[in-house]
Amino acid sequence: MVGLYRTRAVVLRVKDFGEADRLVTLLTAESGKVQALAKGVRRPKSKLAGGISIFSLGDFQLWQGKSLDGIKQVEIIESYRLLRENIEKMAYASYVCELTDQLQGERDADSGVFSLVIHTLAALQDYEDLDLVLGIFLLRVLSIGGYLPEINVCVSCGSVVPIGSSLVLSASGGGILCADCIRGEKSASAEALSLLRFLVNADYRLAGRIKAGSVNYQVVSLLMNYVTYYLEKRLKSSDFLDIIREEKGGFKSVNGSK
Amino acid sequence: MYARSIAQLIEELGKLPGIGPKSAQRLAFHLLFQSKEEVKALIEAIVKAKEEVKYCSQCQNLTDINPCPICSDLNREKWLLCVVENPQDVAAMERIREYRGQYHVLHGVISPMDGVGPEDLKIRELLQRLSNQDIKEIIIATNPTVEGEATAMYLAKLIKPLGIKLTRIARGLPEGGDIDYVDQLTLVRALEGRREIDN
Repeated sequence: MVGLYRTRAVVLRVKDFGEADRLVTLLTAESGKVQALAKGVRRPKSKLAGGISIFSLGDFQLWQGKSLDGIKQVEIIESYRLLRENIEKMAYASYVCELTDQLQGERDADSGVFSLVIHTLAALQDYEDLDLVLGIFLLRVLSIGGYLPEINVCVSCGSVVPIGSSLVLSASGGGILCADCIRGEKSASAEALSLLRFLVNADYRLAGRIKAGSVNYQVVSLLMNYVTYYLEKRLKSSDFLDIIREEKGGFKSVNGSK
Repeated sequence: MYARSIAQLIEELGKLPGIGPKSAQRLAFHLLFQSKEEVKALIEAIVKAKEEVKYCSQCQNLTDINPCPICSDLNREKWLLCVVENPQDVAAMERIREYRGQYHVLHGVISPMDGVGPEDLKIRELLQRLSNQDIKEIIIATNPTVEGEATAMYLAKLIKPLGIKLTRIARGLPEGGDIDYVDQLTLVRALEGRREIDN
């Protein structure tokens, strides 16, 4: 058949469309972000329904349309069930998917992002320390986008920030500040600086092993603010993620000064 | 292209859900060629519904009398409460004529990506009701979507400590369905929710 193609993809977003259809945002392995129409999927006997729920990874068969492609068939590879069945994991995964949706341009092929997202979803499913997973994800995403913060020298005066200094992350400056250059910026602990430096080169397998507790909370909160600055808007899912993170007993020490 | 008042009518109709520019144009011209009385009746129906329909103080369903007919029906079970997403779901449940308990309408589901959080739903009203009324079982009947599940989990976290029996509607194959045509996830759920056959 003409105009049909197959691709592996993860579902980033699903939105009701028309009477019984849904508009699905897919992150595909070959051609980046693709918007596709799932026709009739809200009818109870639709064969597509289970495959196009958010977070699931599948092999999609799509047809090419004039403005929108359509989903003909889908076979689920991994549904990441735990992400739907655990409200905390769901909040983190929603943030990851919304951020990816915002950052990726349509048809902007980048398999680096695709494999990052599926590894992140798997890590959120498998590990308990969700802040650590999110921290690693945010640093990777920033790195792919070219926005990785400078974490070794002060972005204001250029001097090396030694181990043991408290962490001050300046979003507008694009990196950390040394003790002399802090001007009313919020600061976090010295452990937070060490953790940030460590996470830049860390991978998800570590998430099962490190016990960083409240330091994670501080670092991830700072990185989320940093991402918000570069996106120039607050992600909708961050409100719910904040509720979940605070309920989990995170410490709000990030807000205090030194 | 069109007279200004026609263009304005098309624009207003186009704001309705599921109505594109073409449909809006079709509706506008249909209205224009109707009699004055018919158009007036439509306008009055819209205004009347908008003015008279309010939230029921008990179940939060949309109603024109407070409390709504379901809440004030003495023949219904007072101890059983079914939590649904929206008024259409109450109507769907009523159509089956099997359920004789109370309802609570949330008016939405937790949907992080659309910026809908727990505080945007009628959850506070639900908790208040639980402290005032003697409810023995709560059935959570939100849709089996990611958002519906998240809402169910969130409610479970709030309600479990109160010591009230909490159930979730079953998921699985639709009546008259075909195993061969059903998606994997539904089949998994159907297996999980299997029941012993009573003789």
